[in-house]
Amino acid sequence: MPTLLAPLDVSDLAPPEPLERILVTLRNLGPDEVLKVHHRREPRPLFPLLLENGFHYLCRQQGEAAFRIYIWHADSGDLTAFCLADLRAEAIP
Amino acid sequence: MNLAGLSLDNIPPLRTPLGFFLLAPVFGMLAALVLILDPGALSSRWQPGMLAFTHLLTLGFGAQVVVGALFQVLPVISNQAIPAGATLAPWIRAALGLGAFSLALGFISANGWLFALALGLLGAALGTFGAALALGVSRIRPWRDSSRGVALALVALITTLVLGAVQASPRFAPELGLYRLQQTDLHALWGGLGWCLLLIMAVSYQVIPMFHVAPAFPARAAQWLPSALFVALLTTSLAEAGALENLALGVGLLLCLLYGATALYILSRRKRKLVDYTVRFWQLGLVHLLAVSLLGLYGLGTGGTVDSRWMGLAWGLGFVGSVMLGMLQKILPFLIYLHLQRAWMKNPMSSAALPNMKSLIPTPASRRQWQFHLSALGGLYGALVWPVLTPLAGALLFADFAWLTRCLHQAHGRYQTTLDSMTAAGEPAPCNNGDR
Repeated sequence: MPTLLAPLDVSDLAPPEPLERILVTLRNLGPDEVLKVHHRREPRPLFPLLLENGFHYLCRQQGEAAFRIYIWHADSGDLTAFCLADLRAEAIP
Repeated sequence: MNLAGLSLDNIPPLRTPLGFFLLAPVFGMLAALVLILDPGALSSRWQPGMLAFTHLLTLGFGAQVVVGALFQVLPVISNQAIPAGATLAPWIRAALGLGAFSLALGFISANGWLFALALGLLGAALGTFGAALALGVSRIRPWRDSSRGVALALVALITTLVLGAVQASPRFAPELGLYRLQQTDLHALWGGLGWCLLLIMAVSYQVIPMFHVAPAFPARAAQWLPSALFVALLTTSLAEAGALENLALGVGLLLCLLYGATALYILSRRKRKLVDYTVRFWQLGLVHLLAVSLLGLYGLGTGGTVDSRWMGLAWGLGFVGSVMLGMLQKILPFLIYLHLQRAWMKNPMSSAALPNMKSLIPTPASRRQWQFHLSALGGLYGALVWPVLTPLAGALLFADFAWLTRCLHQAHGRYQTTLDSMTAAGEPAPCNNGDR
């Protein structure tokens, strides 16, 4: 069963701090763990770095300036359904 | 999972945009030299020196920066790279540079062959770039506000180029009889309001909220502003001289005011109110945009004419030049940081620490750039009033671009040194976050 870590909120940080914080956090991401990031923008420069370094991710827009990015090790398989379930739970007030 | 359409190949090598950025200020310095060597250059918009000065700045400096930036910006805003970007870039850069230089020499020497050479080179450079960019833009799915703005700016660029070629045709093919005086204004209009402003709009929708932790542009306005401005420009061009032309131009200027005021408001709402010279450059540029738009509306409303030299200087160097200088202070360090981060992740056992992004062009260097730019602008405005100041204004402008050259080369040097350290075998990388 995957584990969702406490969300990392980088919404108020200027580039490249969001990228730095995310990459530093990912150094300690274990198998079957999922990092959830709160961001105000879709961090496009981050995505190729994730793929090149063996991570998978899911990015969804939750509001005008609210994105959720879920990141996990590629070895953990496809955790899309797990992340979408968390998104749905977040949407329910 | 999001995997489709994402590839590291979409991110061009750093040398692609950097080559353009490093070459661009050389043309700014050449433009300044024209003023130093030709003290009468600013006396009329039709002076050979003024025409050489203008095109060295717009094509030599401005177009080099914009083309270089687009190679990098398109993948960031759309996940689509400019096809064959790394292969085409050196050829486009060389042809664009030689074309701008030949055109300036052509204006100064009134040599028809130089005009023909310049048009051939510029046509090849911007035609190739435009075709590659159009192919890249056509693959974007879904289209967003910025993609639309880039596409419209591209059409404006082609229109500017064609009108420029038509106006230069008497210099090398007078028998064609294509020249019309009023087409020079359209050439300037499509270049300034079309190519430059549409592109700045498109890019600002992304970079102002991104780099300055500011709110997003209002979605509706971001969606229709570029299209409305394009329609206003098209109507101005196609209408017969008279009420409709003035009305369309007036609407275009009102749209400029709306964009400028919105962008200034969004910058004022940024969350981090730290000293940031990129923000000041943006504010200076946008204030110039508002001033030129108001002057233009005043001219239209009163039926009078505003000196085109003031309008051109305020638009070209006050608005577009300031925005470009500001963005270079931010975008280049970010690109260097991003490329170093990638290199570091490929070789995490290296001994090199990633430099702090802010150290690549330090704040004191940006402050000095700001001071040089303000001085150059002040000097140029002064020279319009007192022509005797023209060589001094040229010297101040030279210093402005020379400082930019120094900053860009220093940042590049730091990149190269860090990259070399990373590729050398060494002990595990130290933690690089403590000093941020």
